[in-house]
Amino acid sequence: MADPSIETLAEDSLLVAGLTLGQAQALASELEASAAWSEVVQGLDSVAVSFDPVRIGRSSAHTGLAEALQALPEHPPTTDHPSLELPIRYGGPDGPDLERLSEQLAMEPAELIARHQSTSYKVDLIGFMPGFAYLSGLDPRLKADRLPTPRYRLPAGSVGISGLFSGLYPLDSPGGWPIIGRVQTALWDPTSADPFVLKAGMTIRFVSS
Amino acid sequence: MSLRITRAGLQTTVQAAPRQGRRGQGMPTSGPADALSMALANRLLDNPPWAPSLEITLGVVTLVFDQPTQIALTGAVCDFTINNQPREFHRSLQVQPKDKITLGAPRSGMRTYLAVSGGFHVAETLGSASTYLPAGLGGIEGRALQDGDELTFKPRHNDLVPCETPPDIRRDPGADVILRVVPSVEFKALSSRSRKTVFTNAFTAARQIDRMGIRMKGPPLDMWPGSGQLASSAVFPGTIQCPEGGEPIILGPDAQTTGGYPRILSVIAADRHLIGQVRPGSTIQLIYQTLEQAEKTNRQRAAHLATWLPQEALLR
Repeated sequence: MADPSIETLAEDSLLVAGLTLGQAQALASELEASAAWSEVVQGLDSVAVSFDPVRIGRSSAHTGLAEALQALPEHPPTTDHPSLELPIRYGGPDGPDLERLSEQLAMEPAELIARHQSTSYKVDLIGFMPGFAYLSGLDPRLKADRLPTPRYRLPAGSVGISGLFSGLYPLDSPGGWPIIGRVQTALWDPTSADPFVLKAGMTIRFVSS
Repeated sequence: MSLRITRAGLQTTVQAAPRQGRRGQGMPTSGPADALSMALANRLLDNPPWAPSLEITLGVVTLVFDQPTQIALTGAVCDFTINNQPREFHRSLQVQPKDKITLGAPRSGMRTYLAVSGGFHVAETLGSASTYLPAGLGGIEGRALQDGDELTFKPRHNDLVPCETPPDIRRDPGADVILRVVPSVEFKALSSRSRKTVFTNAFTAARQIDRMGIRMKGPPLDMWPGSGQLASSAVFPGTIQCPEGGEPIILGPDAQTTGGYPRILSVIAADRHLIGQVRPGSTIQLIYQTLEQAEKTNRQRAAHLATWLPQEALLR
């Protein structure tokens, strides 16, 4: 892995690139504590910040980021997030792509379900859509392609697969991942200041409901 | 007190403050596509800049008020009448009960803003009343307005001093859009030739335009082989991504928070409000600025706008 570097996204946003996933998660939670940043966005190997281009400016933003990066351990201790068991229903209207995906992967739907349930997942990243969770730890036999045409609307709780990730849509949204099931509990609370249940670093297991 | 939408048009939504500080949770910024125009409309009514207002896409809307109040229109200029009398943009205007407001189609620009004294009453979701259509949240049931919808409001003043936007602040959207840009992280994913032609060739906005982004048509840009897909990493409104096909996409206020396409350029803060006025077929010219030039442009722009708008509405 390359050494971390600070790069320029725009005159009011900077990117720390070349991080491990663990470093990206640790740096993002460190930076979120500071009022200097308008936004802190964690990627799979990076963290981006944006700031007021007139009141803060690039050079002091750069200094602030460099200091946070300096203080970052090479192997940050993983934050102790609670692990969650999520009740899920596979197939049928909850998982409209289960049958087709099983066929593609040359296995029975029951095997696909068993394989999907047999491992625990890590939330690597929250991003793309509101609260969307990228879950690593998928059985490599379940590797799948995106749908050729994204769906206009998926119900909240839908669980999909794309590449080596499983993904979780906490609220109704458009989506391009094949959907195999649906979690039966609410994953967001619009009235809360901290509305999304899932956080980067959490461990998830799917259990039959 | 209420406003009845008798003809809702192509896409009319309630917009209010941009949602700030939630991109880390995957929540797009959302809010007005042309935030400057919305702040200017509210300024004419002595409202806070993000008082909930209507964002009207490509006009053709009819509204009826049931109480006296004041309104102001800004953004894409169209034929605008109150009871069939032509009225002007960028002015605070008195309306009376049963007054019928009609908007035609704008000649150029994409979005018109209609503000009402005191702002519309809309509950906040995730810190703002702004409608975010992809997830159906904010605004009125998270959706675009439909014929027959009613919005309530409570006028802030009974006797507002009439005012208009100063001429040196007002800039009506034109048919061509000039966007000043700075190079972004993956600018070098473009071939040396495309790094020049991206600024010399004009682009045309594609038909598929929404609040998430604008696809630009033109001679395709060349990318170095293998530069197509990146590990998921942050994007912002104003980021210009270039997928492998070579047709760049300018991201708007509803843009996703992370993406995997090379980020070649970014529209400077002072020009991001113009993204909301690009319409299908608009000519888009990108102008290169160094980071230092962009910072100077932003400072001058903010200082100029500060003569008329409050601090929180600058460079949005």
